[in-house]
Amino acid sequence: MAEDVDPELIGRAQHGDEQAFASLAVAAGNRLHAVAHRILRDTDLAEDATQQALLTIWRDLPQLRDPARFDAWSYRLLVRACYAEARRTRRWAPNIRLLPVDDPVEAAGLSSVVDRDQLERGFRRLSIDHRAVVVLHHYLDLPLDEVAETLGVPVGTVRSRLHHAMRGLRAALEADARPAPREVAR
Amino acid sequence: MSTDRHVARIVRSWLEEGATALPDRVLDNVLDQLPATPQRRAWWPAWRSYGMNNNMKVAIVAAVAVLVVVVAGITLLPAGNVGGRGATPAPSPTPGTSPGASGASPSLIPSGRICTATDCIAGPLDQGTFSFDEGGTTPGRLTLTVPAVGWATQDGFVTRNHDQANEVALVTWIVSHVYADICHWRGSLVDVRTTPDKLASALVNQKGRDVSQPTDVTIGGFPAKRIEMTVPASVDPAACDDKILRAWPDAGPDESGGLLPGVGSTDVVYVVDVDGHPLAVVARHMGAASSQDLADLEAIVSSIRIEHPAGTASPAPSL
Repeated sequence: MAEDVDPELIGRAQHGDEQAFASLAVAAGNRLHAVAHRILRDTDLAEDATQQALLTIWRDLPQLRDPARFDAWSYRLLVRACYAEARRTRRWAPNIRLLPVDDPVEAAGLSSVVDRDQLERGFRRLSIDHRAVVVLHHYLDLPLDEVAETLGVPVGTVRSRLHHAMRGLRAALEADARPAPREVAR
Repeated sequence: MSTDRHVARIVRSWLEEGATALPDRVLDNVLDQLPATPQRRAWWPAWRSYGMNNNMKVAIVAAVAVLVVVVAGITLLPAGNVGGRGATPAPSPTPGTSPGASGASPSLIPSGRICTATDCIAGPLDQGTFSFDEGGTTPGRLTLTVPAVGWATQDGFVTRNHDQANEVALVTWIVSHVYADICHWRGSLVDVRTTPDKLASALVNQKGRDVSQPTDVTIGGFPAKRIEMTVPASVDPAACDDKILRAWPDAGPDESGGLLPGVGSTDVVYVVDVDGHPLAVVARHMGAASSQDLADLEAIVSSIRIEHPAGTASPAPSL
C-alpha cells in the first residue's frame, strides 16, 4: 500500500522548498486521506485530519532524520491528527454511511449491505486506538512490528488491541446476524 | 459461527471500500498555509554556532564527513525510531537553513514561543514578545521583546545578520559543563552544574578569550554576573582541537553540540541565578556590528523576564 517517496524530494522539502513539499503532498495525500477516512469513518473529519497531518508534516519535516522512514512517520502524524479530530468534534451521526467514492471493490466475503452495516456499527464502537491498529494492519498490510513502530507502542500492545478489535467486530457480525426479537402485540 | 480468518477477510474487503482521493481543495488549503507555517528545525544536529569563519566551516565539514564515514562503516544499523530523537545526534557542520534563506517565501513569526521545552522554531521574527518554555533552554519560562524587524530565530538563537561579520545574537543556555580551554578543549570539561557561582568562576578562568571581571547586575528580576568574553584576532582555530573553538557542549553526557565562539566575537555572558539554578544568557556580537544593532541587542537583554520555576512567586522585573 505504501509508495516510495523520492528521498531527494523529502530533502528539499526539509529545507523549506514549498514546491518540493507540494509534490510530496500530492504523492502522499491520497493514501493519508484513505487511512484517515477508514479510521474516522467520516468524510469531513478525515479531510480535516489529513489537512492537519500534512501541515504537521511540513512543520516537523526538518526533524525527520531518516527519509526512508517517511511513510511510517507520516502515518504516525496522521493517526495523531485522527485522535485530535475525534476528540475535537463529535460529528458522527449525519455521515454514518460510508459511500464508495473511488472504484468500489466487491470482494468475496462481503456479500450484503447488512454485512457493511454490521461492520460499520461494530467498528464505530471501537476506540481510535483500536481502529488505527485494524486499519494499519488490515488495510495497509503493515506487519504488527511496523504498526507498533508507527504508533510508538510495544508490539504486545498492538497484538492486544488487534485481538480486542477483531473480537469486537466478530461479535458485531454475529450479534447483528441473529434474528431480532419479535415484538409482541398485546 | 465465523472463524477468525473469515472475519479478517470480511474486514479487509470492507476496508477496501471507500474514499481514497484527497479533494483538491484540501490540498490547496494546505499549500496556501505553508508560508504562514514555519518549519521546526531539529535542535539535535545543530552546533548552535555563530560567527565561524570559512576555514572553520570547511574544517567542521571535513571532520563531520570523516566521522560519518567511520560511523557508517562500523555500524550500519537500521533506523529504530520514527522521526524521534536518538541518543547520538549527528552534528551539522553549519547552522540550519531558514525558510527565508532557502528560497521559500519568508513569513514573520508572530509573537509566540521561540522554543518549547524540546523544540525551537526557525525563521524571521516579527516585532513583539517571544518566549522560551521552561525546561529546554531555561529553568523558568523566559520572555523577551524584539524591538525591530530584521531579527530571526535559528536553533534557539535570536539573531540579526546571521553568520555575517556584523551579526548580533542572543541565546539562553542551561550549561552543565564548561571547557577550561576553548582551543585545547578536549579533556578539559569542568562540571558547573551545582551553583551559578561555579559557572561564573569557570567562565572567568576559561582560557583562550579575553575575559572581564564579573560585575553584578539583575536580569529579569534575578541576580546575575555579567562577564564579557572576546576571542582575540590572534587566535588561530587551525591550531586547536578539531580546528574549532568550543565554549561549552550541550548539557548531557556526549559532548555534542554546544556554543562555538568565533574569532573576533564578543560574548557578554550573564550568569543568572534563577532560584539557585544557573542560567547563561549570551549576548553575542561580531566586530562589525552596528551601534543600532548593539542598542537593539541591549534592549532585548533589558526586556528579558524570567518566571520562577514552578511553585514560587514572581520577582519584580528590573534590569
